Amino acid sequence: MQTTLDAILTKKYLIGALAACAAVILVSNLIGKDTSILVGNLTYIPTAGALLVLSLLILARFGVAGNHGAAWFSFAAYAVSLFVAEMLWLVQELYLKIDPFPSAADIFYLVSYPFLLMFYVSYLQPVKRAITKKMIVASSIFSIGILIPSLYLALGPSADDEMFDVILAAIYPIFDALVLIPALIGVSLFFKGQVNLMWTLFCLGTIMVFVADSEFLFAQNEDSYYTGNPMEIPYFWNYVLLSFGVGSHLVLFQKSKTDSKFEDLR
Amino acid sequence: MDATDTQIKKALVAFAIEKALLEMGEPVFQKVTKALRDDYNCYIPDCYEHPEYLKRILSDLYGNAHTAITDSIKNSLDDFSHQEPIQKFVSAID
Repeated sequence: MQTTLDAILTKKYLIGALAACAAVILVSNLIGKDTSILVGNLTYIPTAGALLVLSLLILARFGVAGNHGAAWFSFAAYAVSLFVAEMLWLVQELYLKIDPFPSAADIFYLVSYPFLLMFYVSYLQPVKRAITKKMIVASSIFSIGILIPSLYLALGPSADDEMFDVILAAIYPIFDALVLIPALIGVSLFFKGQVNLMWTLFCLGTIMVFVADSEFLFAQNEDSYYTGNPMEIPYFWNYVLLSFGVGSHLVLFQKSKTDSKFEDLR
Repeated sequence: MDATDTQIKKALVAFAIEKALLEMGEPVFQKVTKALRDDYNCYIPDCYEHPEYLKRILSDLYGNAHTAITDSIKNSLDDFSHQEPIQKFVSAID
């Protein structure tokens, strides 16, 4: 039987997209900092844009009825929030030439988390009886286990920095760890199922954001952060992983010709 | 047992399955009916005689979580579970 890892490895387009994102960012850094800021910002348009388009397509497929419908509605709101946040960041940095952190973009980044949590909760709602205490405890321990060292390392040297910026930057890894709990529960719950590919990709995406947010917090304290630096690669990978996750779900639940015929008869 | 009684039980089981799947979402219902049609050349009411088909499809789709969906189907049939054929169906999808 094909394992989830095999399934991921056979996804050559996914690996290609991940490699392409990393290559674009690394090459732009080799050219220079200004180029990497420009390329880094512009790369968010296709990555966050692809996620937005796919999330709207899957919302159109599922509608808003049923638990999955509610879940995909929340996910579409999450994708919209992230896209708006990325575009605000881009406009502030490239057009207005102001420091985009902290800014209005953070409001949209932060607003996206409750929507992602709502997505996970709504999707898991019909199968909640299968969730065991062991799963909840193991996922929570893993999330808290990676959060504590990350916060300790990142917050340690920040005593002299602006308190508001540090707190704001620290909120992100905390929220990431929080949404990682249902993502991990989903992976173990749907293990061996066809929907597990999406859950695995979403979980990996959340881990990528956690890594990137921890790096951001650390680099922000060192004042060495700039858009498009190699530490941002996990952010792009998150968009790629989520997009492929949504895509896999869209293919799995695609409308068959017979279903369309039945709908035409209604 | 006459044919009408079997048909009523078949309808009850089909209703319970459809309810559980539609609560999740119409595409889920469509996916399961398509799999039944493609893999076994049968429809939702036929799961009354072949509960193992439904169990396999749900297990393929949702992995370990399929038990929660079958639990939901069993709950809908709770009032009729004292009847032997329903009891047989319920224990087969367990």
